[in-house]
Amino acid sequence: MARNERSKGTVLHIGSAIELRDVHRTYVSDETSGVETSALDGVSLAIERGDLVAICGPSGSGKSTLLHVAGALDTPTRGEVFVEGWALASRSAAQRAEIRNKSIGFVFQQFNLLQGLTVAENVAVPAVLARLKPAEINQRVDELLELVGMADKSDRKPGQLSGGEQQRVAVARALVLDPPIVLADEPTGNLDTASGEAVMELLLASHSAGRTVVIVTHDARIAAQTQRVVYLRDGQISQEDKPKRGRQRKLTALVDTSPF
Amino acid sequence: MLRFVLLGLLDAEPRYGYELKAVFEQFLGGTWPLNIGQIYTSLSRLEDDGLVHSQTVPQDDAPDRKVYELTPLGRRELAEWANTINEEPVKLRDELFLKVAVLSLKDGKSARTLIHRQRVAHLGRLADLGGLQKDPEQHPATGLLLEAAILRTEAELKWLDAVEDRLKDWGTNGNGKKRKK
Repeated sequence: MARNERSKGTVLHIGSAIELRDVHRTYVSDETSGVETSALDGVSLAIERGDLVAICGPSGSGKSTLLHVAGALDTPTRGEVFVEGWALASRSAAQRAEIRNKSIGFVFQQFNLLQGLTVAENVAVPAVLARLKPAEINQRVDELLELVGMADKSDRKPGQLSGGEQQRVAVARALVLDPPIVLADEPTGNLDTASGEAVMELLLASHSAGRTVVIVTHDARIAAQTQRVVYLRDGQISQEDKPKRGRQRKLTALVDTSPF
Repeated sequence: MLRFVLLGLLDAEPRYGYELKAVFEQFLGGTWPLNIGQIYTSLSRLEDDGLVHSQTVPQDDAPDRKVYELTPLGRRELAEWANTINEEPVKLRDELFLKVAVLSLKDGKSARTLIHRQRVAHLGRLADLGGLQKDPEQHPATGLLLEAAILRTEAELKWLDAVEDRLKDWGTNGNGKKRKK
């Protein structure tokens, strides 16, 4: 409720962490003819607070666009988006950026670290831009680098790190402003299996800490670890499931090597 | 095939029947249920064929044990089997393949429904297989087995994606023929 009280009273929407209502997003794919391509074609989706959601689908299905629209990095051509109760449509670009910065941490497939800055400086960037006090920034950066297991490499530059290490730094950066929501776009897409699992563990821990976590992935192993899987196909939700997880089944119930 | 797995386990170390059964179970994580009778039957056949020979080891406070080890012939046969690459046809005995194929003849919608439900089941399987992978006490061979099971499940999920993609182009009243775009 506190969050909603802070909103300026224009459009109030209580409840979901992120809600999309009949969202369309088209791009002009051919400038001369003006031909449009539809990336999202009427998507309605409510992601509840504390949810752990995977967005799946073949490439070109619109899943990255969905994440960008949900994260206020992109604006829909039609339809409404609510982030933590704030309606984005009625806001200026600057207000949207403010909502984005305090509500959402992003993790990208390409890590998107600044090459000229050290690990610690990269993690600090969002906090510096948000004008936090230097002492507080240092404390948060130290805590987060500890959390992601990169404390001993805080003075390195991204180029001196493996992909898995860079992505762990990116997760720390995403969390530096303690956002209630984390959006990850193919976070393990450039990583080997072991590094991918380490990054996934961090995202799962982030969810356990109470955050809403949304992961765009084409990796079924990643999707299998979430609570809710949304499939996109041609810009529409084709399937949505909350897989029921019973007890862990035994190996003998899952694999049969006998030739009979 | 069982005989070669047993030869492989005996090649690593000579063993007696009960021990071999325990090692076999550990090796495959119990995914190939065998009783001790089957082990002894296989061992005596292997011995008749000259691939293993046994030695009776007396014990102080228990019945004598027969310890089996590979003969040179057994070692050769094992090597020949183990080093032959697989050129068998791809086995698509999985009923899922046939079910989806049959449903897609009828109409795209029922096939899609099955695909969606199967996807959920497969994700659940992946979650459980992934959970088992984290068990630090498993035999390395069981780890390989799990990896194979995970990759196969992933392959089937991709296949379901591909089928769903193709169903798009099929007429709703089916017959499996592709509608012209």
